[in-house]
Amino acid sequence: MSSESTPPKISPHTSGSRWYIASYVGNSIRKHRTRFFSLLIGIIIGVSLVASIFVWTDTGTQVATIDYFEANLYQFGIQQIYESPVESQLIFDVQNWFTEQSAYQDSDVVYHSVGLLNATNWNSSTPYLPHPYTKGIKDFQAFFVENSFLHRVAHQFQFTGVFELSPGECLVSTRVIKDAETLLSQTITLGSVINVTIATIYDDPITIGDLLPLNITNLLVVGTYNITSNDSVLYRSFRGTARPNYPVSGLERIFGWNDGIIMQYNQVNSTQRDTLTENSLFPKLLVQLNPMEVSAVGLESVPSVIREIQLDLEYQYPQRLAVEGEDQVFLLEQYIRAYQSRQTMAVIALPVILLSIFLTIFATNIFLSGRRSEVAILRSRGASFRQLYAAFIMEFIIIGIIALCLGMFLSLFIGSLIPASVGFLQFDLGIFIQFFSNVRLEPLTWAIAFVSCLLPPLVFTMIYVQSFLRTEIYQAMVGTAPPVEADLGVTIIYFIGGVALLGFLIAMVLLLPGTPLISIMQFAYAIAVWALLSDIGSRIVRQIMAGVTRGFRPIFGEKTFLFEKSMRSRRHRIVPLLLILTLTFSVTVFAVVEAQTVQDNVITQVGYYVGADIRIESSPIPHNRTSEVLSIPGVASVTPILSTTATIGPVSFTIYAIDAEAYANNGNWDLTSTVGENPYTVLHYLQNTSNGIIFPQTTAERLGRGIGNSLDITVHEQGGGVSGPALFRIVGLGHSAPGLGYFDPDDPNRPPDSTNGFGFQAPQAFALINQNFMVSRNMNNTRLMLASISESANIEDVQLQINNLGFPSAVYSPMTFSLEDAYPEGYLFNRGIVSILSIGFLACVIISIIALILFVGIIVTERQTEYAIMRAVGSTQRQITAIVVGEFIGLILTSFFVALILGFFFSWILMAILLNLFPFPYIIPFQLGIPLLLLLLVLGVVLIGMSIGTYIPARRAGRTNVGQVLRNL
Amino acid sequence: MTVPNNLISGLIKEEEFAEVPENLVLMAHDVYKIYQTGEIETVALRGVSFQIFQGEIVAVVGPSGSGKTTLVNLLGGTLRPSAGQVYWSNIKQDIAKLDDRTITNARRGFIGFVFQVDNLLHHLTAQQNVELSARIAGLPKTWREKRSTELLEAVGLKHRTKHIPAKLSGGERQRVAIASALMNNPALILADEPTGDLDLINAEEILDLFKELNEQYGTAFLIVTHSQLIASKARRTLELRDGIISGTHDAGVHLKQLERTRVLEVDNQDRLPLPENILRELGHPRRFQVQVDEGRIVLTPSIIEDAVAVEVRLVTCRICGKLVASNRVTCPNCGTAL
Repeated sequence: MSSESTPPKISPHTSGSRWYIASYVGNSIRKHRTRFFSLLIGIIIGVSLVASIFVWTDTGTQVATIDYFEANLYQFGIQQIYESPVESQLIFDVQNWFTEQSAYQDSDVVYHSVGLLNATNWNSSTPYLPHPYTKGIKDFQAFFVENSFLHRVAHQFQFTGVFELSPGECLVSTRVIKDAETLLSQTITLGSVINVTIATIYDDPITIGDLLPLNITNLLVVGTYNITSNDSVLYRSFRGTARPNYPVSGLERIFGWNDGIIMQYNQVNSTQRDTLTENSLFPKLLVQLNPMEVSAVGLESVPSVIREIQLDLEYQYPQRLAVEGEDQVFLLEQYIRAYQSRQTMAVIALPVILLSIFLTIFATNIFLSGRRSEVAILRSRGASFRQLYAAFIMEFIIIGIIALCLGMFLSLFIGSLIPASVGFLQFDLGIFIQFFSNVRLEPLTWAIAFVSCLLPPLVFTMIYVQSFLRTEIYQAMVGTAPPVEADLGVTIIYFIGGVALLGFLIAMVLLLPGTPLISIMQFAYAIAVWALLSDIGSRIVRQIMAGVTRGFRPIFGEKTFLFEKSMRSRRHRIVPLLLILTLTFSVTVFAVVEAQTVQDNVITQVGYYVGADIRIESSPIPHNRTSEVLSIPGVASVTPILSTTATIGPVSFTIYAIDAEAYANNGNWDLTSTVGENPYTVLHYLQNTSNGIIFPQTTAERLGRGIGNSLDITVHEQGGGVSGPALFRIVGLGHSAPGLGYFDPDDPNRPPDSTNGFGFQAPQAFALINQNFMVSRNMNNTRLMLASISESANIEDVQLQINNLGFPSAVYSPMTFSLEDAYPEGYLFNRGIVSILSIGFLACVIISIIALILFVGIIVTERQTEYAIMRAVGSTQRQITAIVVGEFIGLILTSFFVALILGFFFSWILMAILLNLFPFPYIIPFQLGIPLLLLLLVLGVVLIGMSIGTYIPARRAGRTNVGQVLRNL
Repeated sequence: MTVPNNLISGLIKEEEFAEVPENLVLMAHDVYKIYQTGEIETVALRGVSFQIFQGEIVAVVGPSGSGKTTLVNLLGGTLRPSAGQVYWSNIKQDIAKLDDRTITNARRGFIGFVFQVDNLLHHLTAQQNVELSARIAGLPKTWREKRSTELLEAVGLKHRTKHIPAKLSGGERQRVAIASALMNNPALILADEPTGDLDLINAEEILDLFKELNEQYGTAFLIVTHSQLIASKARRTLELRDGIISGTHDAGVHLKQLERTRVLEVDNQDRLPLPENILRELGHPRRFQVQVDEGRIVLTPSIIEDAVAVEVRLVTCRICGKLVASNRVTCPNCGTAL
């Protein structure tokens, strides 16, 4: 050896190379690929799940805002209030005021008035109101607009012909065309010439002459149209009004864009316009705000910014303006609020997030343990504690940063998938694309993902690496003795502790008030207890399996001996594996059961509030018009619900008169609807008691009355006035009734409900009596009918046909009920829960399979010597493979059964907690939905997948190279 | 090569280390090591004292379980003594009370290990393994490459530089481990059975290498061995039995006839361990009557034998003052030898 290679003097007081840390980290990541990918995937799953909730809600906020601006070309529709004297300049002053606002973008003025079609057919004394259609008078809303306005709004209209005007031309709505045909036998098509009359005054007109009509003749029809959006500010600014057009009909919607004729602004000359403006040609200002300006402070603030502008406007012009647009802002605000209440969504994902953290921690633990001798060697070669500590932490940080970035990237997809959920593991591609194209990733999401998914394993790594590196070098190099078998007594104490914590959880859920904050804390506590019980279960299962295996020796032979030894000596590997498997299976059960429960119960609750298969609302009509409904094919039965008011002394309430038998059959009753007896028995009593009454329980208690007692009730006539006293006998007490809601809206047991039962809750306390009572007193009108349909009927067809009867103002069915329209917050929550559970379930399966491969792989690697020795003493490859597969399938099956118990129990308890977080007007108790078939299918697939997963490492065990392993001993 | 008398017995104070000879590389002083596993205490070393001087080759022999490997690790600072002192000349300090960081920094260029267990990183090639300690120390790359190539050539593995350990035979791996230990040119090489896996020719080559280094750089060697070949080439051989140095031998020891060359030494605690073969011949008596006869010590096996019950009493620890049962070897509070 040459002396040239004598090393430079190494000072005993200097630290080692700093660069070595970086080189070691790079090398280590390359060499320990399994560790790298396991940690990576564990963190990615956690990060993507947490981040996707925030991506979804942030994107949802953006999409809702974009939708709002797309649907609402204008943010405000402003007109002078009708009651005040006409100020022709006012609207233009307002327009000027707007131009000074920074958020202002553009505006249009639309003039409108009442018009009559072919009014020249009648003289001025012809009566106009009421019921003009009876007299063949077709009135409509006349609009005078600029072409620039038509060009701007054209995309919100469906039209034939053209959508622009010259003087002498007009655009006619399809409703006017249809009514002209019906009322005047006048066919209007493109190219027709029509005559219209514009009312120059509209103060309580009795005759046509009262309108001081202005005739406009020979208008050429250049287009027909219909407005497509019926929820925009443009539509709602001219939504028309409701009026009985015939004496026998209910209220019908008239006027507005869809019952109108549009003419050019210059169609009336300035003199005419001045006259008209002073009296009946009202200008309406439609204002567009600049979306960028409005959202400058943040998308969440858009509703408040728009509302502030409106408040400023009303402050500037107090009591003089009617402003349209607030409803839409309120709707937007509801959406944004629903999206922003995402902490509730995050708790749903907590079990899966916890699972991913466990996986990360176990993966760290396993791989650090596997590197004990490597560390010892490095330390014996001079690597300091600090160098290695920095290397391990840097390694974790690098993996963490990569995982964080990939997880965030994945969250863009998952976050867009959440709103696209239409059922458990079913997604709508269109919604996905809509969200994905607007996806938003905020800095807060990065911070939350880091804190929740990276920080816990990082802290664990920092603590664990410290203790790991402090092991004496020689001890680490020769390895440590297998852990001492845990004392059964310790496990029993641990078990008792777990049961006590569980008892505390149940007590908390039953006794503590269900405020959102307490519920979130309960949920988090429940998840912790769940994890703890899974751990305890895993420990007990391991001990039991080790104990009972011997008994199976006659069946499975000497394999059980090896299995028993493995169970006893590999506690540090078996328990984490059992824990992850148990958590996986139980989270799977939880995800499937919870998703089904939420879906089932939403349908049940909506169904109860709607009341029956079909709910028909109308203005008061004779109850015998039920026959028209009954004549529609597919309708099995219909029951009208007649109503009037009544009093007992100072207590006022509503009486609903029903056909008890039909209501029992048609109504979606629940056993909790009535007190004591079931609702069907109570309704049977009512049917058999002509003066029977089902009374609200709360009111009965207040009055000191009960079943069998008499009630002296003053019944009012339907239109007001007193019909007279009547003596009723209480046949039953009620909590709630399908289609009507709580018997007493002030029932102390009624949970908070901002939707008022989707609008179906009866406005005041009510009682049910027999229909014959009201009919006998000539109170025949009804506003509500409940119908059932035959099983073979198509509900949408039936609904359409009922709608076409003309009199219904609304027809509902639980199957076609739009939760999104009625209750956006509940809709989003429902969809969010199902999506998160679906995606969480998938994440869970991925985690478990990775965990299984990881643990089995590491155990097989650790036991290579054992397999080599077994091979050397005569075991075949197949025997070794069978032993390994058998061992792990045994573990999988055992954890599966423990998980079933935990999964069902925690599904129940977490659902009970979730009810307090679930913004849903629930009226009947929630039932756990257990889709047995789906559950069996899902668990079966997971079980089979896992069993196959064990085969790969097991085969590796079987193929252990005996010579090489024994040579390297 | 002697150590001043005041350093022979009692706890050595820090300032007294200044008095040690210039050529002293390492010194163990009343070193105890007790392993604790649950309730069970295993005493691996019980008051071992000796010195290693520059350029010295010292062999350590003894039956399995006598504490040889423990001794190597205690001397190398990879294991902490339960009691006693280990002096390193490069920092002129007792390392027993130093923190891990200081020991690691001090060890980097001072001690090289050749362990009984395979101490190669399995994902690195032979050359990378050899270079490892220099990389950790931050030595220049060009020098590292040159030195590692030379070392691998010296151990006869020039053609195997790019092989990972799994592709090498047991003997080849051991040679890589030896080359690794030599990389930073340490003052002392601690080798635990370095030729255990080697055939006779390979073993001789390794020994020649040790000898060359020893002569060229003055590198000292402490070699734990069962090999007659190695022991015969050592300048001094320590015989370890039940955690005590039960005898020393000068050069030319024969492992099968240790009694011929064995010299008994009274240790720092005035103990004189009796050779196992003599005890065996006498039927393993536990008690002796002692007489001094014309400058000779005469031991006669006692007939009272083990009938006398051992009286357990409390004694006060000389360091921490705690009362300790007299049948304990070390103080459970501070670890001092009792």
